[in-house]
Order: sequence, then structure tokens, then C-alpha cells
Amino acid sequence: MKCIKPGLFTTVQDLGRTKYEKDGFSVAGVMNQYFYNIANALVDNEGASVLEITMNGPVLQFNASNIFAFVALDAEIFLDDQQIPVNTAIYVEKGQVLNIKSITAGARGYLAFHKPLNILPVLESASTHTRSGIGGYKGRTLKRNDVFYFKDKPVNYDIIGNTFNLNNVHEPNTIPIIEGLQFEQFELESKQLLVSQTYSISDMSDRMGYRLNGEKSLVHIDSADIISEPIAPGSVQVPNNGQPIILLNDRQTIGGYTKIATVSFVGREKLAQLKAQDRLQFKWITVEEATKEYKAYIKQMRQDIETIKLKKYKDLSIVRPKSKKIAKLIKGE
Amino acid sequence: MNIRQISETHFMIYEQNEINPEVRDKISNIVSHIESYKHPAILSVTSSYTSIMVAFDATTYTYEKLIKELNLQNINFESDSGKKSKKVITLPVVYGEQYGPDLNIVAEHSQLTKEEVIKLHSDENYLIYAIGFLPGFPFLGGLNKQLYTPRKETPRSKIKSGSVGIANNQTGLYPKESPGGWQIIGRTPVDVFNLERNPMILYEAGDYISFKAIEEQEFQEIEREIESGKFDYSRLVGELN
Repeated sequence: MKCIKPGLFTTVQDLGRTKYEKDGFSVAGVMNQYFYNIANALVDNEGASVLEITMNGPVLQFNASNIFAFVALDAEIFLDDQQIPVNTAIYVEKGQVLNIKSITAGARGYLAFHKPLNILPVLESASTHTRSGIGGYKGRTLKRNDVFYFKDKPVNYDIIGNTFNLNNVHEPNTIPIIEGLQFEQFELESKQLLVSQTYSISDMSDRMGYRLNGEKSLVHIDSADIISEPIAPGSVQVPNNGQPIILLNDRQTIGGYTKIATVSFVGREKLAQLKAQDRLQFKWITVEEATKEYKAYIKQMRQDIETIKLKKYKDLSIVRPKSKKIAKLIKGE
Repeated sequence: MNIRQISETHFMIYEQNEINPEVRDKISNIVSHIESYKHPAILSVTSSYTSIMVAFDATTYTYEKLIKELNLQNINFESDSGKKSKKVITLPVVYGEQYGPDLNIVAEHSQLTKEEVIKLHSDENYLIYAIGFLPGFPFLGGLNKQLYTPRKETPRSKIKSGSVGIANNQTGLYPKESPGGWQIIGRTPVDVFNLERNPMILYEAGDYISFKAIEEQEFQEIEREIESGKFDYSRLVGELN
């Protein structure tokens, strides 16, 4: 597969490099685990590496046949010049061009393949960490003329046309937070302010962290600095200017700012679909509540994966209404 | 010891809130204690000056159950620390000239001769308090106060891998080529970080690093040995008395 146009920020990701934080390796990995898992379930390739696509996607030419699915809240995507649906396993022939033109709802989409991307893992993961230049495709975002290879695999034609309606996240702009490790080092008004005012996501936001802008600043009782300590995903650190930064997948492994809160797992899944200029509000929850929500979320995700796997689906109309080529490939048609 | 849950999947263990070798010693002991469990629900253990972060699988295990099983309150530090070896990695360094272009700046700032700077810098065993910032980047403690030198006002865009530097009260080395603002006083030919090697990084938090002054000729010999795969890394490893 050749990259004809790279798109805004396209990287290879999987579930991240979790075991090597102690050696200074950032975790990286997909920002949205639910979308990632659904994408891989649709193409019957669980745990595989995918392309994580932000806002405007790449144009890719396939040099071999494959089956792909692009999972996003909504997007305009084309195979050659024909518009095709999101969240659907689509058969692609050698020579065809996939254009992920734009993500029209949400911020990130996941392109998964039935025949796996041939990416050499670095420390057990294919995830790209662009800041340190590690993993994925040469440790960086896609560029024009990059060439990917697929591993060979007996193709399961039954999955073509497999589709799934995403379980939409409720209140997408309300982000649950748990009291942070240095919660006591903030004035009471600041703790209330964090959940009472609306924040907008700054343009200087990326996979490392989302910088937020709120009308009023948060105030430390003492200082913004602490002895550097390991940073958990979702940590909301507050530097001296009083504007919070949410640390995400590409965060450094240790850091020395006070943290007022931690965004829950479910909150981070929502954040992955928010982009610069989007507005959000925080909501305090207890760690017990967060754990309950987390378990329910993972359970739902696993159920959805099972549903996709068990679905014997043959509805052609949604895939490519005019395509005889696909029709030929589906049994019973 | 103070344990706090951060999120559904992470908790933090704090020791006394101060940077000193005794606290780091305790941290190292707790880390070994946790790692020796090889608990299936524990996904990663990361430590720093006074704290340890543990990531666990909250889908199969509860925080409460895990904490109970780890039995952290009952670690016997005294018997542990007596047995624990103190690993020192001695890194050969060429100081000054093109290897350490800022040796002059540190000497001038400290009002010492270059030789005195080299002696003071290579006399110490530096405790590795944490690894972070970049893969394999060690946060070291124990720099002689006389050598404290502020960072460069304008950071360099490229610092060669193996460069040894000073920034305020810190010293350390860049395991990988990187931009950076430290005053570079020397360079080691040893590839402390190598993705292709096992172990990938020659040290871990809680170990010590010391620097040994060598001549340019020895630098080149070591470099050649490393390139040809003949370098014996075990010769760098010693024990603190």
C-alpha cells in the first residue's frame, strides 16, 4: 500500500508500549481503544496495528487486495471515486485508491486491515511515538510515497460488508475526573472552578496532551512544582499559569507539576474524539464510580466485539450498491 | 509509606517527600518486592525520586485485593537493604575538546581548572533516582556543589549520543542524540541505550553511575569494539563498597 497523500497526522498504533515506562519509553498507543477494537473486529484481525487518522486522512493506493474498515463517528471516505460507508468491512482490489477525505464527526478514526500491516514491533508494540521517533513507520507520521506491506493471510470473505453501529458515547463533552494526587494543593475555589467553568481545547493540543483554556485560572496554594514523579494517563496537571493540561498517550513518563485531577478511562475515550476549539466540562466522580464505569465500558466493548464476530451479515446494499465485484465475492449472492 | 489510587487502573506509592539516597533505597526495595511477585494483574511499575506508580488490570482484579496481596506494609527494609547489591556502572569518558565543548564554561563558572572539574566530576558515584524524559535518560544525584552550572541560554539543536553534561545541580548523559540545553563536558563511547541489545539500557533506577576519565585513543578503541560487537559490557559493572 502506497501513501499518495499523508493527511494531517496519520500514525501506526496498537495498544501501546506499556511495560517500558520504567526505562523512559512513553506508552503511546491508540487514543480511542473502543474505536480501535471495533475496527479490528470488523476486519477479523484483533490486536493488530492500525492507522490512527486525525481529522483529514490519507490517500492510499493498495498494491494488493485486502479488506479494510474505517471506524469513526462519521467521515467522508471514497474508494476510487465512489463514496463508501464508515464502520464497514470493505473489499479492496489491487490498484484501488482509498481516500479518507475528512472526519466529519469526532476527531479520530481507525483504519484496520484484514491482512495485517507488516510492521516490525519495537519493544513488543507497533505504536508510533513521534517525539522519540520510536515504533510504527520509521517512528513518524506518514509521508507521501511511504510504502506499507501486508502479511499474507487466508482471506475470510465472509466478513465483507460486516458493519456496526457504534454505541455512541453519552454526553460526549462532559469529562469525568477523579481527585488528583496533589488535589490538596489547590484552593477550594479552584476545585469548584474546574467543574463549573467551560474549557476550550487549545490549538496546541496533540497526542501528548490537551491544553485547555478557561476564563479563570486555577490557583495553587503553594507552588506548581513537586518532586518529579511517574505520570498516569489522564493526569490533569496545572502549571503556574493556572490553565490545565491533560496528559495523554504520548506523555513523558515522569514529570514535576502538581496534578489537580485525573481524567477517567471513559473520559479519555471521549477526549480522543474532541479536537482543538471544542469545548468541554469536567465532572468530579469518585475512583469507585470511575472503576464501575470502566468495567461497564470494557464489558460493552467486549460484547460489541462478540456481536460483530457472530454477525452473519449479508446485506450488500450498504456496502457498494453498484459493485458487482463485491457481490461476486459474497457467498450466496 | 502512603498508597493512593490515581485512577481505575493506576496507583501510586509514596515514601517520605524528600530527595535522598535512603528514600531512593526504600523505593528500589519496594520496586523489587513488587516485581518479585510477578503478579499477573500488574502491568507496569515505574519509579522516581520518592514514588512508585503501578498500572494494573482493573478488568480482572480489584485495587483493594491487589494491595492486600502485595502486602507492602510488611516489607522488611533492613534485612533487604543489607543483602541488596549496589550496582555501579562505570562509564569511560573523554572530557573536553570536541567531546566536551563546554568544559571551559563549567571550569570558568566554578573558578576551577579543567583538571579539577574532571577530578570532581569523576570522583563521585551518582545514584540513579529515576529514568525518564528520553528512553534511558538517568536523573542522577550527588553532583559536587562546586560544579553547579546553569544551563545554556540557547539549547543546542543536536547533542551527540553519549554526551555527558551538567545543568544546575544535575549531571547526566544523553543516551540518544537529542536537542538539549546542558553544558556538555565530555562524551562516553559506550552505547548505554541500544534497542537491539539485552539489556537495552545498561542500568536501572536505584543503580549508580560513575564516570572515568580516559584518553581519546581509548575512546576510539572502545568505539571500534562496540561496532564490531566485541565489547565486553560486564567490564563496566562493579559494586559499591
